[in-house]
Amino acid sequence: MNALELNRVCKQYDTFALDQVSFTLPRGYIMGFIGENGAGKTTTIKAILGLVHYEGDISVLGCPQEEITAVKEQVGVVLEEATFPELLNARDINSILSGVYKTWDAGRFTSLLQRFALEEKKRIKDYSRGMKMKLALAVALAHDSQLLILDEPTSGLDPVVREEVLDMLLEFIQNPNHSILISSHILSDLERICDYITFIHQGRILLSLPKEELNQTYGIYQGNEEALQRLPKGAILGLRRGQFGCQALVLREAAGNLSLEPAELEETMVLMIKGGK
Amino acid sequence: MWGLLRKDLKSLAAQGRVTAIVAIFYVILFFLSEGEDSAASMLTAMVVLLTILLPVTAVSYDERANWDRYALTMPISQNMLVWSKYLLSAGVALAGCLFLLLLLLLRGQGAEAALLLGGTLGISLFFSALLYPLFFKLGVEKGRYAMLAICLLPSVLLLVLSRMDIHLSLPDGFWVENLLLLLPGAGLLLFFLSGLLSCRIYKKKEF
Repeated sequence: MNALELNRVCKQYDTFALDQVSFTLPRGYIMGFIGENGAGKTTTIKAILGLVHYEGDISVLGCPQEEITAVKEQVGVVLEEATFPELLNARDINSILSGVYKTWDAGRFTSLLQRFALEEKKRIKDYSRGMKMKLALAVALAHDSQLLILDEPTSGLDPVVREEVLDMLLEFIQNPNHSILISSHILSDLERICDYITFIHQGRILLSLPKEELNQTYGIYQGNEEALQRLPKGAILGLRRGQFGCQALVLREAAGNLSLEPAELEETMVLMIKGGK
Repeated sequence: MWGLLRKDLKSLAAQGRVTAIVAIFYVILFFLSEGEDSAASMLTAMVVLLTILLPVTAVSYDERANWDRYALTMPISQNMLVWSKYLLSAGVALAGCLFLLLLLLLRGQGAEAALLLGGTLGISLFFSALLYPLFFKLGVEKGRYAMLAICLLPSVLLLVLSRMDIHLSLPDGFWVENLLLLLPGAGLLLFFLSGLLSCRIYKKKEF
């Protein structure tokens, strides 16, 4: 069973639309969800969680959207700019959520707070952005989560804590039933932990594939632009011209003898967006 | 549901000092006041005020933190979020009425307690029933203005009527007493219908 399945999901706003968004996250894997600001990452995540109305089909842990409230017991979520009312503290949250999640583990929550160095009695209004993120992560991990959906969970965190968070996610994924969908602008983080990459641009999915396949499918060419002119139409997915030559994202199967470097996530994303035709 | 109520109560308890000051102020007025009717109506006003103010405060805390968006990622349905607020209001109104009863008994005004408590409960539920759909539709900020407009509407109507030389006479005591008897039931019915309406409004919202 897949952890997530999106099939032709569409959402129309006045100035932006999600257009036929489809991808699948198999159980036991981490998917990095990337794209520039305003590409549609958060809207897609909101659709998955039933926070916006949309057209198309979404299933979460095998449950259709209509039954999603029941399955949310097994979903841990971190959202940007959404948290607990500011006068509460972590101790209050522990007691509140024990009445919300049937599988809430108060002891685990307390130990996660200690691990993240969050004071139990400090009010949320006195938390920094990074601390709020850590609190949300602690909540997501303190019940029987099978799937984590994390929208920019490492933004606002210092490198040391970021490293720790990534380690925790890798710990979480040791269980073969666990899966993670994570969006982030810090592509090096995703490169480190993700098994799958899904890239959204202007509301459309440009690619969704296992990370290893990214390198097997695409390569980066650096050099003289003339060499590219011999390639068949459709082989070049993105091109940037510079003072000393050009950089191109090329389909390996159509590249022939052209010497290609491995396609890093960041270069792939930039070339597809900035160098796209 | 209990988790949601616990959250609201904890949020409100964090600013309990303000509520306590309002309550103490009215209690002092109640005991200093000489006329029995004016003293009791002052307490009625306090209960109605707190029944409106406390849940509104809870909703505004939620709004500021984007709590609804976050809560809906948990095993909490939209209907649960709506009804938890109605339960909170009903709870505050009931607690206020019990407090009112205690003070009336202390002052030896127990005889009029039943009628007064029914009226207080009815008015409290009536106002909550008006407010929640507005808050769920417009948000707290805009909802406050709409609330003000609704509260001013009867006065404006009376003013317009008097300008048109139409004068309404006050109903006599018999009607007032019967109205007070009807108030709790009518308030409760309206409160329930308002809850259903709020659920419909909330279903259409996006977060």
